[in-house]
Amino acid sequence: MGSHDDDDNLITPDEPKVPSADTVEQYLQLHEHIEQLRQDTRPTRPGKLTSDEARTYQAAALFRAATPGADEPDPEFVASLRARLEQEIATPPTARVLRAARGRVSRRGLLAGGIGAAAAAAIGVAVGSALPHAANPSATWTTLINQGSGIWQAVATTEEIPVGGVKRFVTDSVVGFVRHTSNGYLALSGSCTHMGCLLNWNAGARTFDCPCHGGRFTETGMSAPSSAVAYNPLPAIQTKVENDMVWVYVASAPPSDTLPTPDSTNGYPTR
Amino acid sequence: MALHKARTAENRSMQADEPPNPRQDSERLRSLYEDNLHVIYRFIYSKVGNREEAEDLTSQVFIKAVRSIDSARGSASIQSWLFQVARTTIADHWRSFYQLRAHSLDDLLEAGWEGPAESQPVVASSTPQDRVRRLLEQLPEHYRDVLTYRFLLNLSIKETAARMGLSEANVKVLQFRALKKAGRLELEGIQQVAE
Repeated sequence: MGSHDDDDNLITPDEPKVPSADTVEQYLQLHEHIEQLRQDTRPTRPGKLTSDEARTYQAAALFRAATPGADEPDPEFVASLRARLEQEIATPPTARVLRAARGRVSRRGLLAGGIGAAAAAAIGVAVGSALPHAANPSATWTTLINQGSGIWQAVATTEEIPVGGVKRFVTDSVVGFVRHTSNGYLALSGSCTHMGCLLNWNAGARTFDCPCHGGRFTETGMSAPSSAVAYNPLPAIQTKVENDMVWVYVASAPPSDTLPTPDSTNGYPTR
Repeated sequence: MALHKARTAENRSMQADEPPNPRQDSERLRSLYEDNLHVIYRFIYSKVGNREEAEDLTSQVFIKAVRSIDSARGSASIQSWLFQVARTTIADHWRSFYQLRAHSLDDLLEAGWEGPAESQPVVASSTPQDRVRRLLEQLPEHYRDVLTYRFLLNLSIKETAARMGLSEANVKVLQFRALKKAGRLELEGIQQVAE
């Protein structure tokens, strides 16, 4: 009885067995979680779940939603959200833009779809402070892959990008840009931090422009002054040069067969 | 006459995709949440399973939507667009919570997305109750029982234990196993729909 993993018959109502010590913690964590759901309070969730465990927690959420009456919105909440939206609508668009720039709502809707989804889900970002070539020292980066869990991929030869040049690259998991600067080769994610649309390099203005909502980023990945709304900086991707090639550190390829067809001009898959 | 003129102007601007008339704009925004607030809330609730998070995320979705609707699409696809915003917001939420490894995250997103984004009708047409019923049908009896008691009847561990003739500790084990199995079945279901 080594593995508990897939053993549905280990416990039966007639013949319960004592679970082994390492899994008792899992049972209790989930139990506590369920109790929090039953109270309708923000639950604690253990970090570092495997996808199997995450699905278990999602199943708990789904079952909780099936508790009669549970997923009925509180009238008070509905009223207050309505009031808030009314206020939002009454605000002149310019003020709206400014507020959006400050608010956290606009911050990272990375996963809008298309290949942008895959790109965003797997942006190869290394820990900011540990980067030898940090493009945005002030940016706070999300670490989506831990160091050691990604792979290095060659995306260009060193000579094909002159100093000042920018090259777009596509790996199985990420779309991004490599820049050749006086500090060497730096790479950025190529998907807008607003809704995940894929950015275009604008060589004239030297900005990365978003085709969806007018987002604009400077070549270092910061939100450009001419951006419709100030968005979070583009995550940096770690780079290295080896064998006359530029390499980027990205997540290994996601299982992409069920993702929507890539659409390079519009990050929204629903049309 | 003036009225007639105004109407034609309105018709025209409704057809063409341009100069937003502010009044019409707020009408559009108003119907955006009047029509969709409940359905989006329930969708989100089925992903997080508690009111606090569901309220928080629903607010985020609608504020995001209201702020960016100017550049959004025609009203026919407003709902699917809203669902997309909701999925994005939930995915974001999971990510901040779970700090998953990239490939697990993808699995999770697939699960959260219920297949490709285009299959939006799946979301709208299946309530959590329907999905749960389908899952229960596929589960072994003792799993079905423990989940029915705990969730559909909303019984405590103690009450469930009494009904099932088990110890409380074993109810906790059983609900864990049952949800794990249900999570896998749900994923399989999603993958079938996606194919």
